[in-house]
Amino acid sequence: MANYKLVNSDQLDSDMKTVADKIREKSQTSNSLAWPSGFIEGIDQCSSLNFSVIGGTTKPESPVENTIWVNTETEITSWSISPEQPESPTSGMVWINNGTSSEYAFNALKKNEIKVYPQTAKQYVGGKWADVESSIYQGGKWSESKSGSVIYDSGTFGKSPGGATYSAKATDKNGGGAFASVTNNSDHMLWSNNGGLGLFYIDPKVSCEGYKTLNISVADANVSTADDYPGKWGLVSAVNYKDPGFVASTGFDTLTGNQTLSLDVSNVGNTEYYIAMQFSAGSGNSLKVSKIWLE
Amino acid sequence: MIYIDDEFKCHAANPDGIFREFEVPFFNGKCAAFIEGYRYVPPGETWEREDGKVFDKEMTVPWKNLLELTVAQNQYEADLAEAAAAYQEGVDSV
Repeated sequence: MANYKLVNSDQLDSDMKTVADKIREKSQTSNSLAWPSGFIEGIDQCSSLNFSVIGGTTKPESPVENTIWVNTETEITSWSISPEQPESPTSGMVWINNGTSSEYAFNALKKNEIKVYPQTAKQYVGGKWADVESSIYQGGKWSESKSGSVIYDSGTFGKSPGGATYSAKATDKNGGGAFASVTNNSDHMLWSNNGGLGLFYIDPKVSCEGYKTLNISVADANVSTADDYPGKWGLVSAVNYKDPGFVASTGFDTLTGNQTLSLDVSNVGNTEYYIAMQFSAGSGNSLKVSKIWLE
Repeated sequence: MIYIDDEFKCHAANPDGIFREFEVPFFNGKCAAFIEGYRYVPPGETWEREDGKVFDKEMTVPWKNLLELTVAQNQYEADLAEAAAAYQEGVDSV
């Protein structure tokens, strides 16, 4: 036989509303909370974080500041925000690429500061990473992540906004391949030159409109250049190994080890250019390219 | 020859002698309007963009809209070609 207790229902409603309001505040939602499942779910979402990651095929109706929505049919089992792709992902994991600058930067914490510079997102489904559309809610509006920002990443070429898959090519006085060459490996590209001046470039051209920085990360670099032709990395108007017409560039005499070269492209505008690197021949001049991206 | 100020912005002239002087082949044959829309960071120096991003290698990039600079340079080259043609026509007529 069930036991019953006489309670003041008005007071009970008031007390539950007080608890619900606190849960909504801490979990950063304005949704109504059904009893008891909504309360339990809200408590689970209470955190010291100043953002949330939500998946689904439609955007949340009542988002709070810094809500990151990931357009996916696959349940998000976990998420990671980092500049490097997670090494041991689990099925359903979402990886949000954390850059070094972003117009959508935010503080990840409610107290103290961890600055996040969100870029694009991927989800680990079926044993591989796949690009997913994502948006962030800030200042009362949604902002979409830009497509086409990752040109190349660890063995995989990205796609241009027009849908073309990028590729890397080389050209030299013999047309490319004989001296300057690109070798595609499972997790990097090898750019090498042993016969003269060479130009390595990405096809098709890209537009830097809406981006501020062009980056390339290289590893095991062993490049030393001649005085007449110092090395350059940047944007060119022509695929000409000798005179490619750099319109924006960063220069180097040597490149060694592992490093990232960054170029300010905030005023390049919407004219399309080839992303390119030029360096001359030398004893074993080569480097491994691990990532090329715009942010 | 170009000149740069303390924001690494380029100048075609140095009338007050307060800018630093650099020989940068990229700017050879470029008009003043083009030159003065670029920023040049010399090797070994560092420039911090207003959003905090730091660039620590030699860099030659536009700080004005590149399309506008390209239009100005194209017009300059067209004017030079027109002047050269007129001069040649004058020479040929003698």
